[in-house]
Amino acid sequence: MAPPLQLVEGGAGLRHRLDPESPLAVSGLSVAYHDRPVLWNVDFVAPHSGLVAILGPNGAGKSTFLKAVLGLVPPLAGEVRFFGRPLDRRSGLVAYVPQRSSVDWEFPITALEVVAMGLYHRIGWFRPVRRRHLEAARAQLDRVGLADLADRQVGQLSGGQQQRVFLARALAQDARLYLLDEPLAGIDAASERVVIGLLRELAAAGRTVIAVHHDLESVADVFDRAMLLNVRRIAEGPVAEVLAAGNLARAYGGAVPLGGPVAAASAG
Amino acid sequence: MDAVVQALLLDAGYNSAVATVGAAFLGGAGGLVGTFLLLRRRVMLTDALSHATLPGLVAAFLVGQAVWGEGRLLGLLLAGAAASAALGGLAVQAIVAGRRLAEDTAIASVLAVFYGAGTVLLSHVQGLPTGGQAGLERFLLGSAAGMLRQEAELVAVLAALLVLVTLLLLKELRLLCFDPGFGEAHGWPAARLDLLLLGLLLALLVIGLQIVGLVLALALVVVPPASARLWTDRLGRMLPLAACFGAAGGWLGAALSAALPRLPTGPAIVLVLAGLFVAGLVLAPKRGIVAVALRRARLARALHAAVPGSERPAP
Repeated sequence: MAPPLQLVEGGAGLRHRLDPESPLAVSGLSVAYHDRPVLWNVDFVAPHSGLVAILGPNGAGKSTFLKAVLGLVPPLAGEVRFFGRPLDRRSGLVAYVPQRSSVDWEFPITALEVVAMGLYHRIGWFRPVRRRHLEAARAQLDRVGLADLADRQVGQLSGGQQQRVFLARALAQDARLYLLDEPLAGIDAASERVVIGLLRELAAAGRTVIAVHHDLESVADVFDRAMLLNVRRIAEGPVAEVLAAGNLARAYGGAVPLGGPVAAASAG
Repeated sequence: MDAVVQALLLDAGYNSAVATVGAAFLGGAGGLVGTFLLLRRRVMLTDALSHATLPGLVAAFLVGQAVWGEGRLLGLLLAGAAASAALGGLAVQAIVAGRRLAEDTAIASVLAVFYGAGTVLLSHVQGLPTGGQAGLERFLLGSAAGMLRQEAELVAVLAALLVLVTLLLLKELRLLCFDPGFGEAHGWPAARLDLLLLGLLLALLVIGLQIVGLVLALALVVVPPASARLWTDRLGRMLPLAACFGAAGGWLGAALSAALPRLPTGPAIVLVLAGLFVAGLVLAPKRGIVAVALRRARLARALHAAVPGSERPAP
């Protein structure tokens, strides 16, 4: 049933064949917006559990990588497999958390109603959201520490709280693979602790979490592995290896934002 | 004044009662469909589509006259209107897709071109020997007065269908409007749901054309939900509120138009809807002008009490 996998340049092509059941196996993924390439021939194989960061400068194609594997932007070329199969969006295996800035928070909806969206695929077409769904959503809202704010209109929440609502919605999906776009961008310290704690919990429970991340200094504190992108894949592997100075110079050009922790991580 | 009261109470004759009820159904359906268009930020599409009905409407009249010797076949006219509005909608999509033009540009272009073409056709029809009796002008500003019972029933049935579809797809449309990317990633196709919303709008325009008129059809879709948004932060309450405002606008507007000579139905409905909107703007809790002013005054008093000398504005 499984179509033949093409062997492409680089090690991931090989790992692809060695690990056909990987939660996410990508080979030769290329995407262009109009005539500008944003991703070029990217290979990637996700581990069966753990936290993976997608790193790179602005415009490197980090968000596009998540959108392209989900089929939200059309790829020029490439093959994407989730758990060895093409994506079945309604399977509930894969949860996606878009960037917080991608939605209008003035929308007339409560935190609880947003979280309940994580259950929609189980409810199915045409059927209403019932009380038991809202109770299930409330339990997830409790996990991110926002049970008290369940009935607030989402625009009245802080940025960090909004991010926690998005995470609760993903938790409600009870997926095996989580794809998060900038889950730690611009949030307060308390929210950051909650989000990181829950991502670790997911990894400990055998889930794979792949998150676009912008802050090189905190990568090593949170993630196990990383992929460094700048249109092409620059490096992929354990965080310390990926953050080696040579890789960063290749990804960021001359302006490498090298801080203390990064230097320490790349040395370690 | 008595005439207005009579019309409101459906006591001003059979025809007026039929038209008033039909307009109320239309307004209610407009409020529901409009709520989702408003939240999807696509209300202006209504204006393009409603103006794009004109060339199809007039062309259908000409076809009817050429083929059957009778242009005033309502079914044919509405089919023509729907076809050219659909064409306008597709034109908007085609202009936007991949050409780096914003949707408002596409909407404005389609509106102008289709309405222009429709006006040319219309003046041609009015120049015909039989053109004077064509009565197509009533589709511009709406006229519920001449509505037949069957037409009103059709409006009511279609409006009820619109309400039903909207309620069945409440959760899907909410997802589409709030977070289409998340929805798409989990198997709720945004493009198809958008198409469905477009279809609902098209159906609404077709049934609303005679009552409210193509020039002001936009108001039916935008004003009731905008009013409802002033009063609530919950979609679950915004939908029934918008439907109620729309229905009230339709009812009152059609009654006014029936009672007052030479007042077209469309403008009458729009004026009533606008009145409701202004009332909300002033009186709504939290967002109304009065509520905001009171809150600020209370805040200022609290500040004055806490910080002596803060009454004077800084130089």
